[in-house]
Amino acid sequence: MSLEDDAELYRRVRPDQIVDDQNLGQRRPSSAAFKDPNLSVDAEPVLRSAGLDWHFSLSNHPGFSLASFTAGLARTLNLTVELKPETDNPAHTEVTGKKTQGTANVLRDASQWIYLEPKA
Amino acid sequence: MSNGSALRYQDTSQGGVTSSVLPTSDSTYRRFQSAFDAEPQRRWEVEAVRQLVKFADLPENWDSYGSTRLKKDAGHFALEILQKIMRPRTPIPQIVPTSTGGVQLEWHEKGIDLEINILGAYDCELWYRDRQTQSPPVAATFSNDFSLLRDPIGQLTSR
Repeated sequence: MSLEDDAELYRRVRPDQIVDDQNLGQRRPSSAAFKDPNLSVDAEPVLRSAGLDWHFSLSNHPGFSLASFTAGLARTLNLTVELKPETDNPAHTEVTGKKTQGTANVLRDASQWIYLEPKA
Repeated sequence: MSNGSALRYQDTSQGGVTSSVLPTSDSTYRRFQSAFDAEPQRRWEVEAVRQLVKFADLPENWDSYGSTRLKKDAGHFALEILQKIMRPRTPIPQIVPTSTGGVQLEWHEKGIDLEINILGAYDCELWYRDRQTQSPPVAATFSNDFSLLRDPIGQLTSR
């Protein structure tokens, strides 16, 4: 199964990787959350087809937030988006390829919060 | 000194301020002398060390995606960079751990977006955007030459 360009990809973000952006007046994920060369995410269409939603991505991860970007955006950055189901996660997907600081910032700038944990 | 309540300042070559008349108690005086003699710590340094120590305590897989623990050399180099670039009025950076054991220093204020990703000692990436000038972002790598940081730190400090 391949993912369409408009497929939403969910990435958990730990509180340590959320920054206060005073320029925008909002809390945002740090670009550091998108730097992993093998960036694991959950594909929303696969979750939906399995009768699941974003809550699945945060289950067993209290305190984490959830950010989203599209498969199409990753592809425009020459990254590979590959569905790699795991035993306990049918939606597991990897966005592979070197992520320069600029690449990570494009992913960060385009990402949207699906869920933002309130500040402790 | 008529009432015995004030400190008397003596020769400081033997270790700083001393007094033969203690104001209230030994412990009060010791606290005063300890604070007086201590190397003044800069606020950014206190905050950075606090954060880095916290990150050093993070276990493997702290990001839930198989992340590694903070590499000591990355933490030490982050402090070295800050010692070189921070000025009295430079805002304190936000410090973020990276999944590969590095740390990232970030400023997002005064129209400046500045990120320094420290993968390890002498292995850093810079990303800088000035929203006021709307010039294209600057992206570069650097090792021990911090001159690239002069302009963005200067802007952060002076605005």
